[in-house]
Amino acid sequence: MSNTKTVDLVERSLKKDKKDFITMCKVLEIVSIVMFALCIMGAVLIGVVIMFSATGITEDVVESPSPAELIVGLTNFIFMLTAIIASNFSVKIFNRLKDGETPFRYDIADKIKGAGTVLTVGCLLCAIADFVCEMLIDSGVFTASIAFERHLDFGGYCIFGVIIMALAYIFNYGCKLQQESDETL
Amino acid sequence: MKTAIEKMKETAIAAAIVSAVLALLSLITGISHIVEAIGASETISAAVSYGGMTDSLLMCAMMIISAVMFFGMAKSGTPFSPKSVLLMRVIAVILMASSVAAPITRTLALSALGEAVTEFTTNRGALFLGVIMLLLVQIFSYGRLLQQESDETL
Repeated sequence: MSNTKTVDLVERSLKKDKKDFITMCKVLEIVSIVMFALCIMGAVLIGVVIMFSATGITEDVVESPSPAELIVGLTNFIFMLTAIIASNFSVKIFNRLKDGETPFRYDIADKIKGAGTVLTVGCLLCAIADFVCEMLIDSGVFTASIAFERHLDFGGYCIFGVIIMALAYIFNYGCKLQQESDETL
Repeated sequence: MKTAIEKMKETAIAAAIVSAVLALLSLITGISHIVEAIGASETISAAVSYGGMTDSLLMCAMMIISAVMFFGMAKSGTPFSPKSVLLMRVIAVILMASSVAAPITRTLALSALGEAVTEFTTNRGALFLGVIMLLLVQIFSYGRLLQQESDETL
């Protein structure tokens, strides 16, 4: 009798966990969609500013940008593109996770790996561009305007990308366990 | 051809080393913030340094826990152990706490130094990461069940 009660409790707890998991996935999917939309808007804005600055259309209105500012603008544009692709991956991941089935599926592991790779490569490019720009300013090749300031920690995002890639390997291992479990049943 | 376990072990060792290095760097940054806060002539810069110190020390704690977790994964040969699930839960809690810890420290420092508190900004990125971490904890809990099942079958 008490054994049946325990099994019932465990089942109920598992059901609750699954419900919490699905709710969390839904929330994170919405957050990812919002991030995706914001990144697209950011990329369009930065792109328009760079285009106008490069073609000199804004010269009558504002002072034309320095090469340092243009590089910073381009770096931020690359970062925005990276963020768009990574958030697109995360929308797809949470969308697949929220169906309540096993999280250990090869397609999810592949998407996690894709997000990690994009984030690592994109942020590495940004970090290199940022570093080169700072070096050129320090050596006096570029004259930095007063507005020039680093706002984003590209190195930190790069490490975050590597961690996500490591997570993809763990997911791959989980997929193998899941496959084993399915074959046993 | 490397097996999934071998690949996972190698990744875990690499992640453990990276975490240990980051823990050391965070500790150094935390100490430099303490020195800055003690030597600061203005109350606002002292409060900012105290906030930075809290951030760095929490980061150091998280990285130490991550290093222990990854070493455990490499040693046991599985990422899905009760120990790693517990440690991930601790990391998630620290991450979520760190989103408000630095502003709280800054506010407390400003109040203690007799300065008016004008702003309170939270770190929403850390909060978002904390939620993702909680989701991962649940996935790892499920993985632990799978691992248990696999061990019992063999």
